[in-house]
This record gives sequence, structure tokens and C-alpha cells, in this order.
Amino acid sequence: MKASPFMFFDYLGMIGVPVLLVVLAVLSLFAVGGIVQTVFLVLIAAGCLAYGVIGLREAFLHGGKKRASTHR
Amino acid sequence: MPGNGNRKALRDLRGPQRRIGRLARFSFEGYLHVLVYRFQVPLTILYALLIVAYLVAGGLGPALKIATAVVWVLWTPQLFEVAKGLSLAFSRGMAFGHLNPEFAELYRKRYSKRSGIYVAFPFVVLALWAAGFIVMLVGWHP
Repeated sequence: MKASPFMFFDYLGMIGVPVLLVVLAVLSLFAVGGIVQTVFLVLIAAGCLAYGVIGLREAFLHGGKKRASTHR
Repeated sequence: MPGNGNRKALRDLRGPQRRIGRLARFSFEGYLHVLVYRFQVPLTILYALLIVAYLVAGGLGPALKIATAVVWVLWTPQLFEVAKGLSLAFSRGMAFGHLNPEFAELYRKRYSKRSGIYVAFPFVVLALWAAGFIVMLVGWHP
């Protein structure tokens, strides 16, 4: 896969969201909720949105017209 | 989708690239990764929207928990492949790299890499991920 600025956000979502989910689960053991949980959920939502939108481009739109013309 | 003029670029002797089933015979793990990714992508966006709805409107706790469990399961192959890829890179191809034995021997002498740690890494990540899943199911009540 060719390096692009999108990849940074793709990998941030791909690794960051699972890390946040595990931390959220562990925090729930210590009955941490309220504002902390909200902050985690906002970050997870942002990560999922970035990962999902880039994934749409990668898996279903094949990177758009520019990449489709690249010969391998 | 690419224009008609570029359709040839996405095809080789195994058929068009978008037919992901062609991977299954050569790399079942890769096929599983790509297949799950196609379900995961739209569901991840819907999950993000559900979190926003939960935070704004409230009252969607059980739905959020079920959606989290689904997303968690679908994320498993992606996380495993990322961990495997990182192991491959950090070990200079010694772990999961299929290097030829002579080349691997030279690499071992030159860099003295212990590939065992790197081979274990994706499985450790997977174990932590599975443990987190159980903790989420038992302890998290949004």
C-alpha cells in the first residue's frame, strides 16, 4: 500500500480504537464512568469514523480514480 | 469504481482483484482478513453514529453494548494482522517472513534477533484482546 496522509489516520483508528476499547472495559471494573467514559466514547467514535470512511475508500472505492490507473 | 479504461489494471491471471475469493486458496488468513474487513467498514461507521446517538439522546445502553461486542469480534482479524505486520517489521522478516534459510542465517548473525518474542507478540495481543472482551461483557453496563 502506498504511503499517504490517510494511512496515519487509518492506523491510528486501527490500533487506537482497540486500545481505547480495552481501557474502557478495564476502567469499568473500577466503576469509572461519567465524564471519563464520555471522553473515551467520543474518542472511539472519532476513531471509528475515520477508520470506516478510509476503509470505504480503500475496500469499496479502490482509492479513487488516481490509484486505479496505477499499474502494479 | 475505476473507469472502463483502467479496468485492466485491476486484473491479472487470477481474475479481477475485487473478487477476493481468489485469495482463499493461497492465504486463507488473508482472505478472512479481507472478507471481515468488508463487513467491518460499514458497521464501524454505524457504530460511531450509535455512540453519538447514545451520548446525545441516551437510553441506548443495551444496543451500544451489543454493537460493541459485534465491533469487537469483527476487529479481531484486523488487530491480529496489524500485530503480525509489526512483528514482521520489527524482526526484519525473521518472524512470519518466509526468508530462505541461508539468508535467515546471515540475518541472525548480523542482527542477533530472537524471533521467538516476535512470533509470540500477535498471540499475546490476541489474548489481551480476548480478555478485554470478557471484561467488557461482564463489567461494562452503559
